[in-house]
Amino acid sequence: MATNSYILMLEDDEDDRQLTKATLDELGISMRVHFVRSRDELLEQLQAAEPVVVLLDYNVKPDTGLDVLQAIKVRPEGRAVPVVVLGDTDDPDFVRLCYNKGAASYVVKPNSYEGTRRAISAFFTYWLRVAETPAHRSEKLV
Amino acid sequence: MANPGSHILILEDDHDDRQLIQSVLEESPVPVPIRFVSSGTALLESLEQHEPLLVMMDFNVQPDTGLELLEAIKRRDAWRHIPVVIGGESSDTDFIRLCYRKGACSYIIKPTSIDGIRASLAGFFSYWLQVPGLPAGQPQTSAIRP
Repeated sequence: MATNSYILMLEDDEDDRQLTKATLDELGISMRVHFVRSRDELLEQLQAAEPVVVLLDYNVKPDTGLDVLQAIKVRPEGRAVPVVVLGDTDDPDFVRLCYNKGAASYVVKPNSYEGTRRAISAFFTYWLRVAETPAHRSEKLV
Repeated sequence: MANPGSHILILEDDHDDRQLIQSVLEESPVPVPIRFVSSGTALLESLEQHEPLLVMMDFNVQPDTGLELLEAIKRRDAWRHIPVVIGGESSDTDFIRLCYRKGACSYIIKPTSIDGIRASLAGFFSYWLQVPGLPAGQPQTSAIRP
């Protein structure tokens, strides 16, 4: 199980993909990130192998992050997978809606390079070294 | 429902664990108030009064189990969006899966050593108080964003 652990990310922006991979390298985290470009591709991958965590860029067209989140949560293989939505707005009603629909977290994309790097770093530290998910046991002090 | 608060609601009945949680939070970059409760009933009562930033529950506080409480929270339309993190002792995959399926935002295994618990709590606070947007608002202008 551990050797096949991977992170599933819906992200079509090449710069964001590179930054995510580079930050993981810097942290010394060797976990694979499987990038997909569409809802259908994501659902297909979800069925093939359970990821540690799913990251959804809210703005990958033509679906919205909420559409994709709901599509994941109605599937038996998706209901227990933590899904983190990445968006641009911090509108409280929107944030509430994401959690209401089953997001494990909603993260506002920082607007600077350095902020993005720090957010990615804190994000992976938490999901890989603090929290447990059905597909992964954290590497932490016992 | 009551006004959003700016506290973390924690179900924990062990005095030593409470002190440890408090001391780790005080060292964190965003020390927000904690409201401790000792029972499921007190937890639900507190939710009626003030919406917390998030709920952290020790799975093993009797007589309810964390899963029953989680279900009670997620059943209520007015509470469904409140992030709930469960802390437990089990590393059983089926059990962890069940926690997420019932709506937990995370499941954390409680380490057994003091150093382990401190490290885990520090990671918990530095994530939840700085990285995600929370429905009840931000603890403060996010320190993670310049």
